[in-house]
Amino acid sequence: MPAGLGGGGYLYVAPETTLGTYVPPTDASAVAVPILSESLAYTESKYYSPQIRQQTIVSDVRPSYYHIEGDVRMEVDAQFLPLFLRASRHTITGAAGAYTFVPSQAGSASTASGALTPKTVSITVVRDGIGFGYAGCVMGTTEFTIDNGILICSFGVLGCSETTPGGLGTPVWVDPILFGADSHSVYVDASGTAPAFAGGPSLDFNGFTANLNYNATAQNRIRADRSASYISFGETEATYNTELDFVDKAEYDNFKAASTRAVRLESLRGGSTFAGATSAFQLTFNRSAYDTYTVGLGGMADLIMATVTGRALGIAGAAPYTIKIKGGPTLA
Amino acid sequence: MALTVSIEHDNFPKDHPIDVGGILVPNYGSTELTDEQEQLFVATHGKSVKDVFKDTTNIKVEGKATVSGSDMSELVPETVSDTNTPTVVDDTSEPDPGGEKE
Repeated sequence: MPAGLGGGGYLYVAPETTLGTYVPPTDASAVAVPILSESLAYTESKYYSPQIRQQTIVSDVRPSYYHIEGDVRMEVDAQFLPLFLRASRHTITGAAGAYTFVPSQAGSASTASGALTPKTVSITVVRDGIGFGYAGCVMGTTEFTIDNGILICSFGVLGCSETTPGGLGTPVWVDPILFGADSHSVYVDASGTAPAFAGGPSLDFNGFTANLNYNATAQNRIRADRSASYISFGETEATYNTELDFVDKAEYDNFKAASTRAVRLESLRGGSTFAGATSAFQLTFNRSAYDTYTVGLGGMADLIMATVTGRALGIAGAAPYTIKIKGGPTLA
Repeated sequence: MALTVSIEHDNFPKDHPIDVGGILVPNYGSTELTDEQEQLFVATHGKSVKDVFKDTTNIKVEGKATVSGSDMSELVPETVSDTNTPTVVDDTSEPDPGGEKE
């Protein structure tokens, strides 16, 4: 069989009803998701026996515990994003395609019945007509970035086990609804439980990348199965980095004083406000502090830019950050 | 009646156009295939429409196919053997120990 191109492959996501029990792409709940790339892999550190037996090379190999690990990169499309965010460390509210995700304190990934409860997902990847099924998957990290004007997300996936799918499904596709260069705005305001961002969008941001890291770890346990038993979560680290036109020292002084700020990235289609948009993505750090702020004279012909990183902080009476989606699927 | 393809996909709203193997079908609706659509489908997928979707629970195919078995063999490309495979020569002869030829 000749080698195939990546473009001929496809990826399915299906919510699990039991954690770690694989749901094939032939299931009615499975959705084919258009992606840019994936690198999901069976990850194992085999045991090599270092026996001392008059030789300086390992003597044997035994399979060891394994889990699934890799990235899935895709353009942000509200038609599909909630399927992945529901499999991360969030509490979900909303209905009918409009959802709000706030970070939860779950110690490990879980699957429970109900449309708005977190669920692990089964991911099926078909590479050159050959299926790879991954069960018990969660998004251990999520990164949102504006790349060439397009809002892109990358998920760091951790999963429990791999299987060979019986059927590969027949993927169906819809027209993409992407957030392009004219869709985005970044806002900065004083931190608060519900920042108003009344001053309008900031015009100084050159790029924006937000990273949500739940420090997820695959947990293997002693049992007659080498696959991971579940995925645990650790500290939630929500950060962002960007580059700003350096026009005054206001934000620099906020950095030195560790003043907290609210920051919002908003991407809209079909309307100029979140309320009026038909498809929308909004990530708000309700309270954050600048972690680094670097500005210098790079060169004779270089713009003076400040390279900035920030970190979300907890806030009394509200979530440290929220993700809002409009135009999503009706989760079931 | 020609083949009709219908789909019920919970991830998308009712009547949302969905590309089902190259055929545009409204969600929770159906599309009747023309002869040309069916032939193109078979040529693309290498199987009949019913065969491709037989294991898919939310896609139904009803009606009578217009592409027959003999038509299918004309539409589906055969696997062609590679005629450019180099021939391996088993050269076990000793090299000529002689010097330069005059």
